[in-house]
Amino acid sequence: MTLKIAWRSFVRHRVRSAITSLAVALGLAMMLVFVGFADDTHARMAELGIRMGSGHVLVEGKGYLDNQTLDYLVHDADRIAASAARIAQVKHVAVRLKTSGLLSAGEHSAPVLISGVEPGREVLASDIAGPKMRVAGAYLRSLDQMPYAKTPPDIYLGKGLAEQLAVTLGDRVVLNLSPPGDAEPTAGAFRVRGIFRTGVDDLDGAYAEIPIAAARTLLGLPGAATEVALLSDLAHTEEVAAAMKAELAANPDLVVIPWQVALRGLHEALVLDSAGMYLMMAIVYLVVAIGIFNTVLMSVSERTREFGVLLALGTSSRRLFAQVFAEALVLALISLTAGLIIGLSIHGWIATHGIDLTQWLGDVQFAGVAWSGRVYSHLTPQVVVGWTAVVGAVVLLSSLYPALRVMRLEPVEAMHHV
Amino acid sequence: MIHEFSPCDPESFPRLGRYRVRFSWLRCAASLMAFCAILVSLSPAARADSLQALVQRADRILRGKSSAAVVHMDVKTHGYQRSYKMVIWERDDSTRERTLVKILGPTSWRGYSTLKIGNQLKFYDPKTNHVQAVGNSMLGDSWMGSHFSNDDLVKETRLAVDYTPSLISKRVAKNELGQSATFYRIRLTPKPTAPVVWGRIEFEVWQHDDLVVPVRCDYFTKVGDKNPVRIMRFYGVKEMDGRWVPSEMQITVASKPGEYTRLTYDKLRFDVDIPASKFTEQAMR
Amino acid sequence: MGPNMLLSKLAFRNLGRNTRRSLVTGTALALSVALCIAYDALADGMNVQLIHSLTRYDLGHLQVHAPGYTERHKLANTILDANRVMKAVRADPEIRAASARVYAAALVGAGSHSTGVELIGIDPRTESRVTELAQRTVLGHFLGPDPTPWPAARPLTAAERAEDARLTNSEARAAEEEIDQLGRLGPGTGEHPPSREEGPVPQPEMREAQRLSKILSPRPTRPPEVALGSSLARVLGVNPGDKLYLSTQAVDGVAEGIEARVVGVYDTGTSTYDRSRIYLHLRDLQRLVHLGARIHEIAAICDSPDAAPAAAGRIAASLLPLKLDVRAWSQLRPDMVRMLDLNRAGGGMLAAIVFFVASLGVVNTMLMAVLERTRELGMLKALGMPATRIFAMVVTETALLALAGAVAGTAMGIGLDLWLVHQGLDLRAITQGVSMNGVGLAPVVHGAITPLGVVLPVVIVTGVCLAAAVYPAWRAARMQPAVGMRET
Repeated sequence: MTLKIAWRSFVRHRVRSAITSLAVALGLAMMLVFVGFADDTHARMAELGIRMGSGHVLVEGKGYLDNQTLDYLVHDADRIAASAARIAQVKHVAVRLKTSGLLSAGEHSAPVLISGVEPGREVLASDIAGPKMRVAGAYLRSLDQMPYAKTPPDIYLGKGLAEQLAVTLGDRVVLNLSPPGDAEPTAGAFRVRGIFRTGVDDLDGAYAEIPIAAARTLLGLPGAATEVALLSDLAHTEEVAAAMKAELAANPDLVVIPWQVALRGLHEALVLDSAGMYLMMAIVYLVVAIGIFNTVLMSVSERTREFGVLLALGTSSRRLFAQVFAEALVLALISLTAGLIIGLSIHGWIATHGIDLTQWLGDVQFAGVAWSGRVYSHLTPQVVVGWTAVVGAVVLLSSLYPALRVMRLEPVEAMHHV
Repeated sequence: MIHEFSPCDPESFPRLGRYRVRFSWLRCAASLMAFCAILVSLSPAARADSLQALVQRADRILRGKSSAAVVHMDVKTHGYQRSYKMVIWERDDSTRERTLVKILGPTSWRGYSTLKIGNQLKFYDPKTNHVQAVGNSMLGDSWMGSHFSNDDLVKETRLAVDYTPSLISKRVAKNELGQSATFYRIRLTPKPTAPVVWGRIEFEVWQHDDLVVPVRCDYFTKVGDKNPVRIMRFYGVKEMDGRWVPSEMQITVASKPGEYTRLTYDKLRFDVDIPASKFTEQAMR
Repeated sequence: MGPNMLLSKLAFRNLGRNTRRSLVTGTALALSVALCIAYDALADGMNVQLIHSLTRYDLGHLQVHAPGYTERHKLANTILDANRVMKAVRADPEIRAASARVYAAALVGAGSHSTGVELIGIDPRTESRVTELAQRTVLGHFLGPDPTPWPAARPLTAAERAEDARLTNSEARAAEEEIDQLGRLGPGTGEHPPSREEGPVPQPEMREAQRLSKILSPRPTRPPEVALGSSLARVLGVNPGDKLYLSTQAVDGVAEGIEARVVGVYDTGTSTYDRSRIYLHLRDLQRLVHLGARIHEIAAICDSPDAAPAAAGRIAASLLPLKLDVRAWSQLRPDMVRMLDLNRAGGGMLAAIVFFVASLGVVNTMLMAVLERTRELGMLKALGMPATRIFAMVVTETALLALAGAVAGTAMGIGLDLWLVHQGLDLRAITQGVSMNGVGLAPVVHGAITPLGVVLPVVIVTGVCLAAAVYPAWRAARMQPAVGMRET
C-alpha cells in the first residue's frame, strides 16, 4: 500500500521525477562507464607491463631488485620453475637470465640489456616474443631446435637497436658480456632472427633476447637465472605469491615479489590515476545528493498540508516517515534501473567496439608502457552491484533528512501551511 | 670414403643391392672414375687447405710464439695529427695471448700502458697511477685516439681460425721488392659461431717462393656489401730479425676520408723469452 | 521603473518565495563551482610541480646548443662564439638568468665498482639562479663557487718539444736495448736465462718527463669536488669525503683520468638525474677534457615557463646568421607537454559532468517554481504580459540563482584553493613515491590558482544554468491564461 502511494506520487510529478531520476541515473551510468573504462585501462596497462618481460609474481635472488647485477642469482632455476608451474592459477612460467652487455656489428656498437630466455616458454609469457610486437622475422629457437649444428644462436632485438647497428634479419652481431666476479669478458656471435617494436624507447633501443642456454654458456652460469617469472592473472596475484613463498620457505636467498613491487612506477601511476577518478566521482555524487535532497524536500514541503491532515486523521508519524522513505525508494529503484540500463549499454558498446584514443593522445608512453590507443571497458558483477548500492545509499541518505522532518510535523500547524 | 678395393677382385667391390659388378672392363672403368672423383673432390679441399695455410702465414707474419717490438704510430684525424712511440711485448701461450703495450712518447701519453691477458684488457694511467679494467661499454671507444678500437685489441684477428677462405682471384705480378710473385685475393667468411663483427673480409697476399706476405685487408660489415668500411694495407717489406715482414701498416676508415693510422716497426724480434712478470699490473706502471 | 528593472525585482522576489528551496539549489551550484575550482587547482598544481621538476632541476625553461648536439652529444660539438651567445641570451627581456654547461661521458670507479656516467660541468654561481639542484642536497654540501686551482695548459716551446723528442728517443733506445738483451725462446725454457734487471729509469729523465707532461696536462692542486645523485652514491657505496676515479676521453682523443672527491649527494626524485650524473665545476671539466673555454649548452630560465617559446624564437632570431638550436622546454620534451594536457583535460571533463548534474537540479527547481505560480502567471498573461517577457522573467530568475551560486561557489572555491596552496594534499597516503614519465613529484601536491581555473567553472555554470532555464521558461511562457488562472 505504501508503495502504491509512493508510486502514484512519483508519477504525479512526471517531469520533476524524471529529471531527478535522470540525475541519479546519469550519476550511476557515468560511474559504471568510468570505472569500467578505468578498470579496463589499468588492467590492460598492468598486463601490458607484466607481459613485457616481467611477470605477475617474480622469484629473484635477494638483493637483485636493488642492485641488478649478476651477483644475486637464482641458482637451480629450472627446479624452481617446475615447482612454480605446479601452483594452481599459474598459467605460464618463464626463466630469464638478464645482464647488460655490448652489441657490435661492423663498426657500430651499442649497449644493450640482454635477456636469456627459454623460447618455448617466453613466447607464451611475453608479448615481446609474440606476433603483435614482432615487425620482422621470427622468434628465437632454442639451441636444440637449431637446424644445423655450428650455426650462431639466434638473437631477437628491438627496432631502434637494429637501426643503431644498421643490421637486419640474418645479419650477424657479436655480443660482449662480463661474467660476474673477476672472470674475463666473453663474446659470442649471434644471428638476427627477428626484430620487435614495443613502442617503448628503452626496450626498442636497448633490449634484446637470446636463448638462455647461450647466455648461460657465455657467462659460465649453468642452471642459473636472474628471475623466475610466474604469469597468472591480476586477480590471483596475491594467492600465487603466497603459494610461491610457501614453496620457497626453505630458501632464504630467494625473494618472491609481486608485480606491484617489480613494476613500481607503473603501479603508482595507476593508483594515482584511480585516486583522481574517485575524487571526481565523489564530487559528482555530492552534487547529485544535494539535488535529491532538494527534490525530496520540495515534494515533502508541498504536501505539508496533506500530511497535516493525515496526522490529524490518526496516521502515525512513523507511517509518514515510511511513506516518504518509500517514495525515495521508488525514486532509487527507478533511477538505478535506468542508470544500470544506460550505463551497461554504453559499457557494452565500448566493450565491443572500443574507443580509439590515438587521435587525441598520439602514441603515448606512460610509466614505461606504450599506449597504443584502443580502450575497452571491463566490469564485474561485484563492481556493478557495489556501485549501484553506493548510489542507492546516496539517494536514500539524502532523503533521510526530509523524511525525518515529516516525522516532526505538528498536525495543526501543518494543515495551515501555505 | 676411400674403400680399399681392387678392380680385379669382385668380392671386394661395394655391393649395389644384390648385384655385383661382374664385367672386368666395367670394373676398371668404375675404378678409374672413382679415382678421378677422389682426385676432383680432393682438389678444392687441397686448394682450401693451402688457402688456409696462406691466410695463416700472412696473418701471423708479424707474430711468433712471442715478439718484442718498438713501433711508432702516426695518427691523422680531422682534429689532430700526432706520432706515438711505443714498445709492444707479446707472448702467445697455449692458454691465452698476453700483450703489453707501453707508450714511450710524446709527452701527454708517455707512461700509458695497455695490458691484455686473454680477453681482459686493462689501461694504466700514469697521471693518476690508476689501473682501469676495460668494461664492455668501452669496447667501441678508440684506442689511444687511433683508428683501432679497444675491441680490436681484445679480439686480435685470427683470420685462419675464425674464417673460412675461398679464392676470388689469382694473378702473377711484381711485388714490392721487384720479384715476380703470385697475388691471391681471398674471400674470408666468418665461421658460423665465431665472435667476429665482420660479415666478410677480402684478404690479398702475395707468395714468392716460401714467403707469404699480406698486402691488403678489406673489412665488410655484411656479406653482401660492396664497399669495405675499413681497409688495412701493408707496406715496407724488409728483413727484420731474419724474417721478411711488412714493416708498415696503415688503416683507413671509409666513413672518415683523409684520416689514417699508420704503424711502423722500428725494431722487431721474434720468439724471445719474455718473462711472465712482464705481463703484470706492476709492469704496467 | 523600466520593464527590465521590474523583471529583476520580480525575479528576486520569486526566488525569495521559497527561500529554502532556492538556498539548497544555490548551495548545489555553489558547491559544484567550488569543487570544480578546487579540482582545477589541484590538477594545475600537479602540472606546475611537474613542470617545476622538469625544468628547475636541470632542463631550465630554454636551452641553446650547437646544431645537432642534442642528437649525438659529440664532445667536439660546442657552441661557437659562446660569449656572444650568452650575452644575447641574457639580454632578452624575459630571461631571468642563464648558465653554461659542459657534458662528457665517463666511467666512474669507486673501489671495485665502476659504471658509466655523464659528467656535467656547471658554474655553481650562475647555475644556482637557473636550477634548484643545490637545494636538493641531502648529504654534505653542493659544489663551491670556485673551480679547483688548476694551472692552465700551454703548448710546449720549441726547446721543450726538442727535449720531448729526445726523451722519447732515449726511451726508445732503452727499450730497444732491453729487447736485444732477451734470450731466445728455446725448448725447455722452464729456466729463464738470467734476464737483465730493468734498471731504474734515470731520475732526471723521469723528472723531466713529468715536468713536460704537467705543462700539457697540468694536474689540479687538489682533487676536484663532485656532487652526485643518491642512487649513484648508493651503487658506488660512497659518501661525502670519499674519493672517486673518473676516466674519460678528452676532445683531442687523449685518455684522461682524475681522482675526485665527493662533497655532496643530492636527491631530485627523478631517476635519470639521481642515477647517472656527476656534477663538477665547469672549469674543472673543461680542463679535464681539454675544452679550454668551450661549452656545449646554455640553459636559461624565464619569469614563467609559458614565456619560454617566445623567448626562444627571439633569441634565435637575434643570433642570426649564427645557426643555433634554441628551444623551449616544451619543444625539448613534447612528451611531458602531452601529459600535462591530459591532466588538464581531466579537470574539464569533471566540470562538464558536475555542472550537467547540477543543472538538472536547477531545472527541477525552476520547474517547481514555475508550476506553483501557474495562477499568477496566467493572470500576468491575461493582463497582457507578452510570453517573451515571461520567458525572460524565468530566465532572469535562474540567472540570479546561478549568479548567487557562482559567487558563493567562487568564494568557497578560492578558500579551498588557498588551503590547497598552503597545506597541499599529501599523496603519501596513496603512494610511496610519485613520478610521471620519470619525472618525480613531491609527495605533497600544492594547489595552483590560475585565472582560467577560477573563471572557467563560473562561466560554464552560468551557461549551463541558462540552458537549464529554457525548459521551465518555455513552459511558463506557453501557458494558457485561462488554464493558468483556473489552477489552484
